[in-house]
Amino acid sequence: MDNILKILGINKTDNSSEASIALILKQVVDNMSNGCMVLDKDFKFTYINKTISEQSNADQQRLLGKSILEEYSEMVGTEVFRRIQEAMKNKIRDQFEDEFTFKDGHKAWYSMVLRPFEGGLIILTEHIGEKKINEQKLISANQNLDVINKTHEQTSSTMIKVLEDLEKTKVAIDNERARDEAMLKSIGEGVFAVDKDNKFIIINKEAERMIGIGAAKLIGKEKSPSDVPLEYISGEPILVEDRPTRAVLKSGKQFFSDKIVLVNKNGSKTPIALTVTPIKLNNKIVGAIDVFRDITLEKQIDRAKTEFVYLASHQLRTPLGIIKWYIESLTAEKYFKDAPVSIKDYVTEISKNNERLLDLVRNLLSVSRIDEGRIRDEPQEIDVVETIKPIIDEIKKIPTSIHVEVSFKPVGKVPKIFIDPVKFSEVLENLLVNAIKYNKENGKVELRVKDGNGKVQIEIKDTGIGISKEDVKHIFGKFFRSEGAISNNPEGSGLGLYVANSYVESWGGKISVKSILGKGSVFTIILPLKIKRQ
Amino acid sequence: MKKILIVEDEIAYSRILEEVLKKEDYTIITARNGKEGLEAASSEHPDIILLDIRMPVMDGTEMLTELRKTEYGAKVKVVMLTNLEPDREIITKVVKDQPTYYLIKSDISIEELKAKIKLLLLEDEDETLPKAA
Repeated sequence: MDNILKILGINKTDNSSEASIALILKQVVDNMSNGCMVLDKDFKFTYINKTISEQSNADQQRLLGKSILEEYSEMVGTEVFRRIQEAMKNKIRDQFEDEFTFKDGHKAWYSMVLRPFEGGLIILTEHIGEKKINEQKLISANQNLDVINKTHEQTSSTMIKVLEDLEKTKVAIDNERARDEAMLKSIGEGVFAVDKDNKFIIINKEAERMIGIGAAKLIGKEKSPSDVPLEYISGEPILVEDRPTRAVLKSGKQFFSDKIVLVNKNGSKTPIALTVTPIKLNNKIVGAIDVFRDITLEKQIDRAKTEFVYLASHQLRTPLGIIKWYIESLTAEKYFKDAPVSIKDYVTEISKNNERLLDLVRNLLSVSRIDEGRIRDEPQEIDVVETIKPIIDEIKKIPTSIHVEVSFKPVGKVPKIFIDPVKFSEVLENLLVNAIKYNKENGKVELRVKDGNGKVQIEIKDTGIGISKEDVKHIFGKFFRSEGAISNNPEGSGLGLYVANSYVESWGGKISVKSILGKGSVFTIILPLKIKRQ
Repeated sequence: MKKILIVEDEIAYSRILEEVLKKEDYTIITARNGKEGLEAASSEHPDIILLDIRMPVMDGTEMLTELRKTEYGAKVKVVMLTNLEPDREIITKVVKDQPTYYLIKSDISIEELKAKIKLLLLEDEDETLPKAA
């Protein structure tokens, strides 16, 4: 106070209006909301008003005589202080805004006015915190608004794009659906799909027609394919546990058969070729698709073919049979024994080839019988071991060009089996004859039979020429002959294994083969004890 | 001396059978169809009849049915000798008339046929011998 008076050149005792004005001025400065501090040339406080002392939380008295550098040590090196020094040194006025960090750590924006005078520097401060914050907010807000606007624009255009795409996709899906529906409608096969619980979920017109029940009655009505009657060709109904769709849902494996008959609601029966495929999602079975077609015409053609073969075989057998008997008589004649070697040889050749033709006819007949599904079975209960023994004995008697040892080994107790003994013999003979024919000099053939998990398991092992991995896939097919077989035995018909396999499959059994080319093969037959009709 | 009736329309078969069986000292009678066969059977009463199936005028299955109606014919041994596969139709026709054998010509040798005939004739003579299937 005294300093200001001094600064203002006012005597305390002077009662003039100058002194009063000065006093008023001092009051004003003391109490104004702006901060005011005065520094001497050494940067020491000579005056601070109430606002400053409040703001810096410091006592007026305490501060007086202290250097601003001490009090606001954090100011050293800052722009603020540089300006203060500049103003003091060069006696220039300055005005600026800055953010201050106080001793207690809090920050605030201030506007500063620097006014040098004779004795030092007057610093006026104004707290512009609010103002600054609002300013910043406004700027931020503007910036945000810009961003929002831009984002809004982007979002709008993105949304528009998305909508456009959606529209396109919808159209595409509609088109696809229309196409699929058209396809389903028009394909000549019956198609339906079931969910994992074996309930109809979709069905096409052709399937509806063949089954004789409309989609409305099948879909969403807890109906399953098992409700549609199916039969084997023999006329026997297919039991629920053997139903193809049900089985595929359980096993996850595709099913095919062309020996099934579909019974229409009106009672008419249609032979069909049926394929059932599982629908999998992430390796889980979620449903199945059935595709089937009417094969009546195909069956008729097949039957005509078979009848032709049948008739033809009779027509073929007659002259072949005659040749057979005449040759037999010829070779039995006394004079034949004395005939020149060449004549004997030629006649032998004729006889051999005649037998070959007869064999072919026999096999063709077996095949035609099998193809038509009319393998007439006359099953009886047989003792497997006792039935096999005479077969082995007969096989051993067959003359061969190479010496092969044939042995029979029953292992443990072999269950009795209910099977057609003649066909059973035929199957074993086929396999045994092969094992001998395609064997090596001093080779071995061993037949083992045992109880294999409640089924009869027969293994025929040979040390023969073996079968390549490629050929194994085709070996049970009609007329298939591997190269090794052809070179070893050019006269084979390629039907023996086909016939054997067909018989075994019709009994509900299975033939399989494991072989190593050049080393030998093992044919395994597995037969259920009671033969299931198929 | 045993009598064998051969009912067969195919001459080649008929001829060779006749020649071969004559050598075995059988008396041979031949017929070309079922009708002739019936006549020959009733007049000659052969011990064995070798009967083909596919023949003109009357086929073998018809002849067998007619044959079994007669007193002689009911008991005589009949060997069906054919090249026809025994399908369901034929089996049903034939089974009730009980032929003694159903043989496929092209699947059997003359020797085997001769042996079967011999066995059948021996059965006649000696009832203690096991009957042929």
